[in-house]
Amino acid sequence: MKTATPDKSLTYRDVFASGQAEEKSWARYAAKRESALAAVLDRGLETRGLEEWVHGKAAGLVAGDALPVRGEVAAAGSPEMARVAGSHLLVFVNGVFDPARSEIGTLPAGASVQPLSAGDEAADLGSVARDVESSFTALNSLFWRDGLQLILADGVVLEQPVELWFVNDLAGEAGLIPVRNLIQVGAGSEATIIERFVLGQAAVVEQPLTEVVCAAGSVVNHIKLVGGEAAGEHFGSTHVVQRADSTYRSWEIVTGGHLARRELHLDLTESGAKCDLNALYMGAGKQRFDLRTRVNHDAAECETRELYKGILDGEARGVFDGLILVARDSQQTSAHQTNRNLLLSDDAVANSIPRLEIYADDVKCSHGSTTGQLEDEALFYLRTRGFSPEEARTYLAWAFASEVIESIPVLELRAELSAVVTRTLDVVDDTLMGELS
Amino acid sequence: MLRINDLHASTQGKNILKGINLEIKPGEVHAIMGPNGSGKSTLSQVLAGNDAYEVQSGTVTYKDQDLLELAADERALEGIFLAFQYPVEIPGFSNEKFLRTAVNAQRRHRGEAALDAFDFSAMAKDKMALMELDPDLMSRSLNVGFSGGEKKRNECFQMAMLEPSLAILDETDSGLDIDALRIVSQGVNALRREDRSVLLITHYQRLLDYIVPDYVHVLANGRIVRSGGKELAVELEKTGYGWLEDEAKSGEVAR
Repeated sequence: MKTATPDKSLTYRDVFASGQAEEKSWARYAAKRESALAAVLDRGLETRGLEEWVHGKAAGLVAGDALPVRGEVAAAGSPEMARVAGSHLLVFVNGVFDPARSEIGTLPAGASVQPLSAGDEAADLGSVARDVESSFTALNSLFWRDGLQLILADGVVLEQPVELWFVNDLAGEAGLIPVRNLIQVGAGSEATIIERFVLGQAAVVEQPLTEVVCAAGSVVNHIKLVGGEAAGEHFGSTHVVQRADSTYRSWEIVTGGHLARRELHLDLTESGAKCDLNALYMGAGKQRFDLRTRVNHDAAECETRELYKGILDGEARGVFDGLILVARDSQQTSAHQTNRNLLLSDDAVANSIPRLEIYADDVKCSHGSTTGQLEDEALFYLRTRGFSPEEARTYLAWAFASEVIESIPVLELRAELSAVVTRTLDVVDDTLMGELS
Repeated sequence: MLRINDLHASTQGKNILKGINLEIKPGEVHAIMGPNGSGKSTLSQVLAGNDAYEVQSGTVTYKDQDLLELAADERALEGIFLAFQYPVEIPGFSNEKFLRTAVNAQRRHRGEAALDAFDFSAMAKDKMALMELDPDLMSRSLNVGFSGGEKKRNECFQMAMLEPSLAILDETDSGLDIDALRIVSQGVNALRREDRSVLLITHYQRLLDYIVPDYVHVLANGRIVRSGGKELAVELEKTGYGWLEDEAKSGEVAR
């Protein structure tokens, strides 16, 4: 474990100038970084007055001292890793690719999987998440050190998932760790990508940003797991563009960090695109999770289905802020948005802002939101079947979570996450553990 | 099996049961009929141990124990089963996992070894066939997307799996078409045994054509106002409930 304390007297311009000279990976994408610097300096990292931050909290991201972690930071300690068997594995420690722990394995023809710092310069970087739209995107474009570059040609089916581990094990006041991923999936191609974030004990601010291009008829399963210690902060965003008849499925499972924000931006630009967005956030103590989705229906006959679920205990707070925007010519749109929150304590808080903005007239859209405690009726039903009060509560909360987990297409992850949920719900009864797993 | 003595109960500050007396011996099937609001469902909820109902006075003895001292789950483990009028839907909890946990909780309580997935599914297969339930329902979330008839048949399927000593069926016949009614009745009849009792709560006489009770009781305004054999149900079908309520008001209480 290493301590990297950023010098707070430095400005972004200073940090950038010295970094360009010293950091090997920073010199890549020089032109894009220059314009990103201009965007950050022009707009500043201000959240006040910005609609997308009204219900969110930026904390370390705007504190002004969120300077990027630099230098040799890859640690020696090996995290406990239960990877998905056979996956194409890339490990990043404190934002830097770690070839020793990675195992990309054999890829089919037409598939390229490598660290972004090593690949050919991709013209599409920054085309889905645009610096001009958000100074936080620009901040990421400015300082990222590494990430995934996945490119699938047309008609390539990746049988095994691409699994990314982002491990943070810094100590002390550690600074910002921006990560950049670019995923381009060709026409008719299929891929499953797992992003795992393991926050360490330090007050790091990790800021991963993933751009996904889904070409016509492609299928992308994208699973994002935010776990680990409740010390750091996580500001992750995924920006997706979908072409005709493509399918993008997302699962965001957030249990770690004292503050975690996930943003999902989708542009459905051609007809027949479908997206299926799922999330489960489980917080306790003073954890705070913001989950935000923006789906733009810019073509006819596209579909969105969203199911975001929160389980909040202690004084935890969960925010769901979802907007589906259906443009005027996007006829025959089907869009359904659901947010459900389960509060396990009197002090837990859920904010839910489901929204539809519809400018087309021939659409099927719905949205709904519920927040509450376990229902007495359901508890009584289970008790009449012989479940003790504790068992009944645990099973109901577990069932609430498992609706999301059981839809994940990677079976190993279902078992792993089911165990996480069981642990989080403090299930100490071994018999019960056995029944659930 | 069950002896109810002068039972008074209320919910949300409202007195519903106003002195119920009833004795059910092992092997007997009793039917409780009565108009809406007479307290039929309250009786079933009180017997199953729903905390939303408060027992004000009276006693209930079940297998020589004070039933009112037992929590709902303890009653279930001691062999009381309530088939719900409106079974609860639980997304994310598969029918299979739910029922296996329930069956194993019972077995643990009786000091028997837990059933593994294979033994359980062998046992479930026959009983699902009896209730004419699609085996695919086992992997679906509990009662989610089940038709009204499937929910009721699923309640009876659970009852068959849990093999209770006292089964209480709360308006299990309501909303069923004639085929579903036949299947549900067939399930209940298959369960009839000399050491097992059944309490049928129903609004309509129709169910009693299929499940022939030993005794019929009429509940009106929180009291049993008349008891008799199965012919009482036939009489009620002809005359309706109006005159019985008049009797209850005039204070003429049967038994």
